[in-house]
Parts: sequence; C-alpha cells; structure tokens
Amino acid sequence: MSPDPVSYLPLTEPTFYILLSLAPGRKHGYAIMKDVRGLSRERVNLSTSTLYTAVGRLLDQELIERLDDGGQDPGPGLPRKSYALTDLGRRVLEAEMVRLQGMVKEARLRLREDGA
Amino acid sequence: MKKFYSLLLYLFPKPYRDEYGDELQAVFDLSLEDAAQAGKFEVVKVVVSELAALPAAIIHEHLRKPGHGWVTQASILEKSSYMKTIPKIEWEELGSWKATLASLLPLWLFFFAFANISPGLEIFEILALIAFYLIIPVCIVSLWKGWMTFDLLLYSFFPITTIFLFDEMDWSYRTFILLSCTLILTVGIVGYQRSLNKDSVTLAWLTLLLTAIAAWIFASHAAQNYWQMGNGTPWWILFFSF
Repeated sequence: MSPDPVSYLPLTEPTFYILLSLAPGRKHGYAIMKDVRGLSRERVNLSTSTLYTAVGRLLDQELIERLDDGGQDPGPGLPRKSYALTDLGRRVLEAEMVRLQGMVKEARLRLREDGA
Repeated sequence: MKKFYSLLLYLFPKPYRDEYGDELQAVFDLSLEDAAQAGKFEVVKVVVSELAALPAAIIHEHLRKPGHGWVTQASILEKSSYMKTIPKIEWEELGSWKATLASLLPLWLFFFAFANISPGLEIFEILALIAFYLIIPVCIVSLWKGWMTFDLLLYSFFPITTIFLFDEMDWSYRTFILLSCTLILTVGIVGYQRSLNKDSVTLAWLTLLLTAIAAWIFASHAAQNYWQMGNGTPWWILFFSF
C-alpha cells in the first residue's frame, strides 16, 4: 500500500523548494541548487553538502529518484546523475500545497475579522 | 580550492563517497566557477558557506542509517539505497574479525602512547612515541577504508576521560589501570561488532554503553583507592578493595 502523503508533512522550507524545483522535470544537483535559490528569492542558499544530505534523505523516503544520464554527456563539468520527483514525491508536494493554502485561508479570514 | 575540497571529501564514509563523491565535487566546482564570475567576494562567500556546512554533513553521513534515521554501523550491514550499489564483499567484511581488529587498533595505540610502560627503558619510550603519531593516520585510514565507523572511533578515545584521574600517580599503577580499562573497552568493541554480525543493534549499543560505564567506574575506584591507601599498596588491592 502506498504511504499517506500527509504523514510526510509539514515539509521544511529547503525540502519544499527541492521538491518544487523538480516538479517540472529532472535536474542535476547544481541546477537544483540554483533553482532553490531563485524560487526562494535568495532566502534558501543550500551548500553542496547540505543539498546532498537532503537529497539522500529524500531518496530514502522515496520522494525523489536518482537517474542515470544513460551514457549521454550532460555537458562539461556537469554531474552524470540527475534527480526526478517520484509519484509519491509529487503527491507529498501537492499535499503540502493544500496544507499551506489552508493556513493562508484561515489567516486571511482571521485578519479580515479583526479588521472588520 | 577544488583540490582541497576533494581531499575533504575523504572524510565522508567510503560508500557515500563512492556514490556521491563525484557529484559533490562537480557541484562544488560549478558553484566556484559561477562565483568567480561574480567577483572575489562571492568566491569567499561560497567557500566559507561550503566549509561551514561540511562538518555537520560529514558527521550526519557517518551516523546515518539510510531510511530509518540515526543508527550507525548497523546501517552498513543493511541493504539500503546507495549501499545496494556497493560490492557485496565489502559489507561482509564489516563486522568481521578483520574489521574488529582494525577497530581495536586506535584503542590499543592509545594505550601504548599513554600507559608509559617501563619508562626506564628507552625502547618503550620510542614505541610510545610511534604509537602516539600513528593514532590519527590509523583512524583516518580505518574510517576511509570503512573498517570502523565514527561512533566506534569516539568510543576508542574514551580512555581520555580517565587520564586526569592518574595525575601524579606512580607510573606502574597508571599502566595497570589504563591496561584494565583498555581490556574492558576491548570487550565492548568485540561485543559490539559481534552483535552487529547477528543484526542485534540494541545489544551492540548496550555493550558499548555498559563497557564504557564499567571502565569509568573501575578507573575512578582504583584511583580513589590509590590516594587513600598510598604508594606501595599492591595493585590488585587497589583494584578490588572496597
């Protein structure tokens, strides 16, 4: 039986951004690092070792998978492995989005009540 | 800097390094190249942030049991994501007698370096000096080869906590007490490795904990008796008298 995505929540900010970075498609480690920085507007600056610690954990949790570049040269200096979101990873990301939306909705309602 | 970083990667556990080492190096190199285009200040920023994050990541990887959180050498004996790619023979070696002997080496080098066996004889002084200088490289090689894990390395240095008890104590007593502690801790390491061979993680950790406590109680009891009974008391009376 597939694990319940809600059991992985809440996600930490770096985890959320790593998963979000992989949502459009597979990426190499450095591309994830740069994307996370951009997505978080420079707030989350992952170092190489921190990124790979998080990647290791996400692989263990089966939220992402590691893919070979299948003999193709990814480009000069680029790692030959890339990462992609698994089906479970995508469902966890969606569940986190719903959770965050719920929080924002509640906050908006409460603030509107206070303002009225 | 790239070369220095590649050397630092040797501090990660061997299986992790084999699996992710090239990627870590490639990502670091690309970060550095990008930073270089933005100026020297950016390079310094990247280097500082990378070096600051590295120790925590190294310790984390040494203590991590993939998939299940924080256990240590047990993880090496189990199959899990990156370990599946490692040739089987390497994992069979861990928990073996070869690995046990390698794990014991730092502990016994520590004993020879600090026990001061027969200080009148020059050969023992030379041996103590050699043992002292061998401790660090032996630890690094053992970690690098995957013969011992970080938790066992910390345990091997447990006698340090007893050394202040021997201050101003006659060398012969000091040697006997340190030898006894080393033997107790040896039982701990052998028990730990053997338990892991049987996949009994709880028993392995319990063995380490109990032998560390026993060594500490033994050393402090013997030292206390020495100061109460004085020099000249036979060592076995110091050890066993209450």
